[in-house]
Amino acid sequence: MKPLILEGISQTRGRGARAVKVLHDVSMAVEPGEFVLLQGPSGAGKTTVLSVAGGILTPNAGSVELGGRRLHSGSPSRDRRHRAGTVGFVFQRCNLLPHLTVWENILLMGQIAGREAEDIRRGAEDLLRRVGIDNLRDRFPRELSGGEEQRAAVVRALIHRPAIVLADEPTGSLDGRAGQAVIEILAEIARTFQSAVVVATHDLRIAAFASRIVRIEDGRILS
Amino acid sequence: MIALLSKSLRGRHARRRLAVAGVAACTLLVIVIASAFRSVQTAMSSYAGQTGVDLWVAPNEADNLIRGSTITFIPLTALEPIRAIPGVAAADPVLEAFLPVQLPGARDPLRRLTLLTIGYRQPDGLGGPPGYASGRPPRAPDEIALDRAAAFRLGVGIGDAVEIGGFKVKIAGLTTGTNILATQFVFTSFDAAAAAGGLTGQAAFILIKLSPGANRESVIGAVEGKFPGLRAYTRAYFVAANAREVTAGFVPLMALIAGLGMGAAAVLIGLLILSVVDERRADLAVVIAMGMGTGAAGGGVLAQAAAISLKGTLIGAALSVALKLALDAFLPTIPLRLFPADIMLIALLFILAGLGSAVVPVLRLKAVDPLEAFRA
Repeated sequence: MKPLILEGISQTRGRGARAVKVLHDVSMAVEPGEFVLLQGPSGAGKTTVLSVAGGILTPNAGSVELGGRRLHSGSPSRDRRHRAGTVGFVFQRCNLLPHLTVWENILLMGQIAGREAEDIRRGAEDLLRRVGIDNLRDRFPRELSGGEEQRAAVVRALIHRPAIVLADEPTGSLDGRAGQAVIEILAEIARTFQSAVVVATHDLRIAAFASRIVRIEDGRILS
Repeated sequence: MIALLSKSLRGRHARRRLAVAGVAACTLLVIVIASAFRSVQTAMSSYAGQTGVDLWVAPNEADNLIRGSTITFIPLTALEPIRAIPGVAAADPVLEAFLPVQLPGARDPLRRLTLLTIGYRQPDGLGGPPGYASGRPPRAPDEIALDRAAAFRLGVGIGDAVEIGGFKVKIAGLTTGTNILATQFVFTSFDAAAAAGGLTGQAAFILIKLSPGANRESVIGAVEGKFPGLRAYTRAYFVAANAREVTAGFVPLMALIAGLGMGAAAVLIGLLILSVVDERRADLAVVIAMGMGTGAAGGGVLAQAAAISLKGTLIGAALSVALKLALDAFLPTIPLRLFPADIMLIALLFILAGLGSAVVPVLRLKAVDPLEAFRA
């Protein structure tokens, strides 16, 4: 089962005379354990592709199959529950909830995905150890460096063992070394857990980790 | 999940504490008003419902203590015929009048209190004080029992002298459960009250104690048959009639103040939650993007509102207990009677008001676009 299949996705932003087409007939599929780099300049449509792939944005045309389920064809709440268990998100600015500790941020995602408490606890301990921040579990995001925060965000994205991780410019707010460390962790964990990873970025240094690079420009897949 | 989201939505400490303090103040206000009402109600009921009195005989329409002092009186000539009715074990007259009470020789009218003066057959006649805080029942015609709060207002104690309607008397005991907020009770001998009030030969009520096994209805029938201008009320009826009189005057004002207090608390909570939802929009977008439903997110917001309401209400309730103790010790003129059921009802209403106030912020959640998580 492919974690993600996008077919003929078109997306328009705005209405009437102000309507702008941001995606043109985008199709792509991602295999389990694959590390896909979605590369292109700012405004190319990378984030829109991730939003559609993650089931957050409903496309104007085309179909989205996520973790074996076709989205937007049935109950929205079922779609939501399905994507909660199937997708892990890593955002550019980490977006950890500031009033929760690292542990609580991870716990919350596990609960949203409907995982058992014991399962979450074991998984979180394992992942925190793997990414090297198991000593920071009781810290609040403001007490972490940018790199530590992004590692915590990676653990949060993986806590429910999603079929696919969608990462939007995960190194965008980090210096080169911290950014590389985060990508290494993401690639290694994805390989270990056989989770597919799609990273939207214009950071060319990440290319070395990718099993495939998909170039996007002006809302069109080039290669 | 809702607990964690609720925790993550906590607003700034100072603002949150202010909101909790506001809810606590509103709760305290409503509890104080309700307790003052209960105090008046209890005082009226404890006197009207005192044990030993089975029937209250009063002029027609004078079915409570307030009316008893303002409507026509009973001629004392009715006393002996009532005592002679089969089934009547004892019958005593009670005189009730609002009379001025002051320190002897005081000239300042502002130092003069108008108290509900009860004249009864000393020392053990029916209709005496329902309870004592200190001292003993008055035994001589020049002795009185004065409500504890009235004594505080006058600055007098046991053994001190005061003037009632111009007659000098001495305080033998201080009573409790006799403060009806607007005024207090003072108990004198029947004859002294009659002389001070210029009501010789009259009574406001005649109180009846029935013999064991006596038929209450036949005694009532006999009293009302002999004296068509009088009615004989059972103790339960008389207590209920007094409660009704108090309630009619007090409850509308109390309901208005309680409503305003709850409204103010709801607005405070609503404003805080609304500002939290607006400020934490990006965080909410993240959890919704991660797959949390807006229903669960709304649950987190409601939990926040409930937590603030609960905390504020509990603090308000605790403060009301502390205030009652402080008033009892230092300012007994303001009587508070706290009933756990009242406090629980008020707390419940405040929590419901708090939850109601979160409806608008919860509706705002629908406008949170999970795509904002990518833009944050």
